[in-house]
Amino acid sequence: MEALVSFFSNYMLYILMGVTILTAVGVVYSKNAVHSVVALLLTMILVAGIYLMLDAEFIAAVQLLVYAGGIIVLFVFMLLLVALHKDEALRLFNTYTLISLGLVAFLVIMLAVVFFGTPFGPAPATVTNIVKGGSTEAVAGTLYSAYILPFEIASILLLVAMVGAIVLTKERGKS
Amino acid sequence: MSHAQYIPLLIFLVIALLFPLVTLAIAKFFRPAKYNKSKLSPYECGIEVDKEPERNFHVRYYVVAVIFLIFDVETVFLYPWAVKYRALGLFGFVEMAIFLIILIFGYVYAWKKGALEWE
Amino acid sequence: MNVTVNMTALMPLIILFAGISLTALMGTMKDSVKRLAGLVASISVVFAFWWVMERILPAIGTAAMESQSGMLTYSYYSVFLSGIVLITAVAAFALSEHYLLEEDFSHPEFYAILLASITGMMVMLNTSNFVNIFIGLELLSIPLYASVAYLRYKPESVEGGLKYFILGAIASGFLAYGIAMIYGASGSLDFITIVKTVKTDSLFRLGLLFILMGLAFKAAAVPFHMWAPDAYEGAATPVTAFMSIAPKAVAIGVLIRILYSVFPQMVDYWREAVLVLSILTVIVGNFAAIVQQSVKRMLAYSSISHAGYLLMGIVAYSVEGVSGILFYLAGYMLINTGAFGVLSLLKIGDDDFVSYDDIRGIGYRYPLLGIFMSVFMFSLAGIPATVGFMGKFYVFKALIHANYMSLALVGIGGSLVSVYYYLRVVVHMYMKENPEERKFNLNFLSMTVLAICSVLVIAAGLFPAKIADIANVAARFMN
Repeated sequence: MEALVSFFSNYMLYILMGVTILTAVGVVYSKNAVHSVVALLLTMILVAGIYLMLDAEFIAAVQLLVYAGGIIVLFVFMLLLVALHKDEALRLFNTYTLISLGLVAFLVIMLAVVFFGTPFGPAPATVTNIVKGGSTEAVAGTLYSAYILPFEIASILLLVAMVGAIVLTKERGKS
Repeated sequence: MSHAQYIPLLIFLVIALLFPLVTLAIAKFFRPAKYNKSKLSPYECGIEVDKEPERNFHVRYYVVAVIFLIFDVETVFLYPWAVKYRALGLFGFVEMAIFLIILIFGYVYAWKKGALEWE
Repeated sequence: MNVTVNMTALMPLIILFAGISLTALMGTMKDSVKRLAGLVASISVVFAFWWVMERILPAIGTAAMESQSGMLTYSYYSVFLSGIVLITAVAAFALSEHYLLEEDFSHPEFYAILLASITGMMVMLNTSNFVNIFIGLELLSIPLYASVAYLRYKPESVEGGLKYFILGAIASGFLAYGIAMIYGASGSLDFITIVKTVKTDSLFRLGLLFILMGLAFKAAAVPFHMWAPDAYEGAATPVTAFMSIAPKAVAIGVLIRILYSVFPQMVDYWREAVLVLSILTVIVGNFAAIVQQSVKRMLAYSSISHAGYLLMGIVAYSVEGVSGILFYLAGYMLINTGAFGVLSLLKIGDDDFVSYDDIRGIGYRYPLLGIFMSVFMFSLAGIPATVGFMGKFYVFKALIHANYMSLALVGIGGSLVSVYYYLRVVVHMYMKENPEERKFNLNFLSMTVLAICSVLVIAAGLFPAKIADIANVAARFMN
């Protein structure tokens, strides 16, 4: 049991990250769109696992609720709407594999150099509090006091998303 | 380490994954496998499909999905608010009321616009 | 849990939100009510403008008016830019009225969506907190994606909207990532706290680079301009007018504020990045504009090149440069509203007649329209006695004072190239015959907007001192 606990705490994060990258590659390279969506779902769930290992329980819950539960539903609905078998012949998507690989490699190396080269000091007080008191309470404590304005604006954003979606799907000539 | 509390979750996930996989594997082992082309057609019996539909599903399915997602996100905001409800007091109640009123307005709009009707 | 809310500061947002909900609600009502949506939207914008100018402006002194520890911050600078956004909005609403009726696709929600975008701009401009910058950007962008794709039965409109959406979402991601890095490096999201902790280490540099990329996208600076021509061309012309001014003013304005007042210690780093961006933008924008066959698409590329001149002003890093940019934006608002306004009238039913071939002979058949368009084209080209010339003059003067002679020369070279394609419009209007007779409906409201714009373009070109003074004050009190 001791061995399991120490293995879990030390390596689980890296295992999750590795598998996440694999599923993310699966999203891009699946020939079948439904397989892509399933791979995306797995990616979302694994990312939630990563958040969990980083002590961000609230974000993990949001990840599962909104992304794994909501966004994936949208993707599935999109598959229903679009006749994919007809578009296959059009070859709409070029993947530019070599160029994108080069760009991604450049970005990864740049980020690695920056993050490993930065002498991160002790975490700010807010972050320490989050770890101590649980992240949901910490999010609530700041979101509903200091960040009340962005919070209310988020609801306007949601409202407008709804209005926009309805307008864009209305048929012409009907009100 | 605090992460140890997630170990049962991991074990649970592994078992949950194994269960269907093992079931499928056993079934594959025992069931007869006879290939027949008609098994792959959209309908195994009844009227034959003569052409592909123009559009697979009507776009109103998508609107419903979007509205679902928006209220899904709203729930996310409710969750930490409920956790801290007592500490936030009346102020917290009022701000969440404003948040909800704005979204309920969206709901009323969608309703009156007929986005939820199925014609 | 005591949060004091300053209602005076919050009021413009509340007014705009009232406008959003009213216009959205009108979408569910009778047709006779629906027709008033444009009016209601304009009233809410005008009311918000009045509130900002009458209630908030007097409360600002040398220090900005703050609410909730910087969540809302009104300074002379941000009020100037807010004014530009709100005036553009009213003009765009006035032009939309005719355009959408001609198109026979006028929903009140159209105004609700644009009002939401304006609310996002107000949030983004009047804040000193990165969270509001981000959520403001989202509230600015998402309605704009929808309004570009608004004419959804037209393939080019949907194409433009989709391109704008996909690339815009990536740009928002970059901005969020940059903000996260700055937060990781400084431990704060508040401008005033961050500026105390800024060091020139690599995390700050990378974070700033990502923020720069996110905002450069919104300003349509090369190489983040790919979406712009298609989105501008696909959108309804009044929306294009709005899009080519307001988001650009906001992106440039916020970029200046972030670079100048949050990262002044890193001036050596961002100066080079902005320098490269500005040169690329001016060159690509101007040369791509030459080869266009459609006036609307040419104006899209031209608006890219104008973003380049504005970025050049940022490089100067002086009060003079900022006041030049603000003057430029004010002038650009008048000119572009007018230029796209003329195009929005060249419409019969569903069809827009906005290619060079279509505008042949317009100058004779519709003399007033020809004069207006010529004024706007001369002004865009930077011919003296117009506001376009004065804007460029102030920006380039600031550059020369900051010892960026060669950069100013690139800008002047770009303007000379631009004379060709702007005058080509005038040549087509007056010196070519059009075999096809087309009867355009010159709507009175739209014509009034055009008349006001062209008179102001000339007036501000001849007597620029008044606006220049205001811009100067605005530039000096940024925080």
